[in-house]
Amino acid sequence: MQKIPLNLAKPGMKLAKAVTRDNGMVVMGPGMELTESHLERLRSMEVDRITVEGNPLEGGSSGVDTSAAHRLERLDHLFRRLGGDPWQDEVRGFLNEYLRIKAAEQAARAAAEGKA
Amino acid sequence: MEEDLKTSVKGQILSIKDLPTLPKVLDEVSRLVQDPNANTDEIAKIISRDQVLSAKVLKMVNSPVYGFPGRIGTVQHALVLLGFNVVRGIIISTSVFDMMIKAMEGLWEHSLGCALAANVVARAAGLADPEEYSVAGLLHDLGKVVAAVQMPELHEAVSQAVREQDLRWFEAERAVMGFGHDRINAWLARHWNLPGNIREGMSHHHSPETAQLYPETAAAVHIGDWIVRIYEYGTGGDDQAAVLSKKALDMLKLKLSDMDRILDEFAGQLAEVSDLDMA
Amino acid sequence: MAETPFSRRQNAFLLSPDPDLAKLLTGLWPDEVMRFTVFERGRRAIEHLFNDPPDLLVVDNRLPDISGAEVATLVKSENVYRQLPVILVLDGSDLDHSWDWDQVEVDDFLVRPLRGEEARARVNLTMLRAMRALDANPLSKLPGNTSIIQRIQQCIDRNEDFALAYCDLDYFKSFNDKYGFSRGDEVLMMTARVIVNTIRAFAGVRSFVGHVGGDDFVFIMPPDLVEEACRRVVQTFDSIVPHFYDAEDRTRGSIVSVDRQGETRTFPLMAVSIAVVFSTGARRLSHAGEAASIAMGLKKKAKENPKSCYVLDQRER
Repeated sequence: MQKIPLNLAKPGMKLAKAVTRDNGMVVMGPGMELTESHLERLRSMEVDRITVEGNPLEGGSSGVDTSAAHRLERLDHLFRRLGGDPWQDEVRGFLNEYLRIKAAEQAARAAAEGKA
Repeated sequence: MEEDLKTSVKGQILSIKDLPTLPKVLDEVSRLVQDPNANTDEIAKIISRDQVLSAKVLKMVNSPVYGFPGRIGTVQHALVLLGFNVVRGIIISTSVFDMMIKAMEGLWEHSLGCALAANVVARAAGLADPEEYSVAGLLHDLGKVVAAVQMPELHEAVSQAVREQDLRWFEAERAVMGFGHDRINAWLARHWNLPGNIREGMSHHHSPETAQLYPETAAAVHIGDWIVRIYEYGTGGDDQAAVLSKKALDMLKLKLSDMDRILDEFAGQLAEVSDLDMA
Repeated sequence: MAETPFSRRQNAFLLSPDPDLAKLLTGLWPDEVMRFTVFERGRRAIEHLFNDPPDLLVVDNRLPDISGAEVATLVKSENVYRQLPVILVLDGSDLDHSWDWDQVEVDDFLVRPLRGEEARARVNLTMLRAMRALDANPLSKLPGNTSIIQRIQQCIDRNEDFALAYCDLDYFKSFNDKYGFSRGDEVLMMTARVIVNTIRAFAGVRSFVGHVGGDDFVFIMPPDLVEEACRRVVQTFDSIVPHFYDAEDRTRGSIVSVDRQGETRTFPLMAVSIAVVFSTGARRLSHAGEAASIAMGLKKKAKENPKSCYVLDQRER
């Protein structure tokens, strides 16, 4: 089983653990096969991770989406209140550059593995 | 008025009797301490992932009862010095959160992530005894846990301010209470006789330049907190980047460009630990 | 001031779900003589017990979550807590089966229904007896010289195979001179814990740890395990002891101190030296004194090495 970010979940995956709300209420039980409408609903409930059977995400089987591409997407949101300060702008510029290169690397590696 | 609040909160914080933790790690350690063949290293490895259990063993080993307060800063050493029986006693007397488990889970991951990141930063900066930086990182938000347990109303008020005014948790704490978890950490660390480096890491990670004795620890934890927030592993209570202090980098003689290899190393280690399901 | 047999106010813990028992016991002494803290459950009390040990522990066998015997064992198996007197409260029916008081190391028990006067007298007596009976080293609470010699003699008399290890610290004196005796005591307390826990980690083994005094410790182990025990003591001690120095000395790996002749000298960090004497098969010790004199010879050899080390008695055995 593997804990994965919701945005990487696909229809057909099976839940290995129940999805619960903050108050502990069960939304979907284990064993349920996910459909697009399930995923839609989980997204609307702002669930960010689910645990599914098997190991659908190869490589970094992490429960958190550390992929550089996703980090890059989040950067604007994370820095939303840090604009205007030259040092913070420099920090953000550095991260932007770092994650962009990483994302390209990761994409190239994924493509190479896809061919092999 | 504000001073009154601070005094009464301090009293409430220090009077904490039962500090609960999450069930997963507790179950695993409980199983190990019942097993006479389990070794200290295994137990230490698991306890080192849990901020509450780590705090409890360090508090115990640094208590005056043992005769060397403030000397022991790693879980490994604490376990050797306490011995199996005492560790077992701590474990069986620890309860789990019955409510708000889901809400707190993110804080456990955030703390574990900060422990990793502080360790990576300490290594990159060439500092001695990097394990001790992990402990300081792990405990850097303990004040938030204790506040949630002892003063649920204030905790909720802070949480509300975060949501409604789009504040960082630390800003919201100061808006609501007049002081932050860094202050709460300072009270706890002193009351529990934790070693100076861990104490300053806990109480100065938002302003490392004000640390008097162990500025490196405060700076490493500060940068660690910043890193783990960029990766959004767990949550410190809000979803914003921390304000990275340039002084913190200067104090460790690091440049922004050194962050390349630090982030690389951290992302690799995070992929390993985040397999562990905390809840 | 109420009449009291004690030199100061005593703090007692009562672990019992029974409100009548709590009421009766707390009513027996004025608050300034003895103050009770009552826990209705056992498990939660243990952490408090370890963090802030009271002067007396009364455990009710009716605890729902942990047996009275188990609480007593947890307390009594730790050198730092074992002088704490423990009294078990039983129901008459608990005595229908026999108790192994060697395993359940309580100091006394009380049986329901309690008679107030008698309970007070028994508790007072138990506490005073516990205060007198302390042959332990005042610092580490480990058994002292009398107990050590008795134990060695007992092993000899029973014709047991055993290994006897003498430990002491190199450069302890110079550490004390530089940092003062209270910092020195910290190191001794740490050393005691390292030895005790290392030895105890060998599960199911008959062993003994004593504190001769100062920086001299003794432990007894089966001969086949003693080398491994020495190795672990050395390794653990070496990894922990640097933390007892100030950062500057730790980084440098040495201290600068003035010796007895008034000369400034540099000393390495402290190390532990262990000399091990065997009493096995054909080569048996005849009395405790013989062990000590052989050990002194070995010690000289161990001390030639400034680092932590152990020396095993290599004579024919």
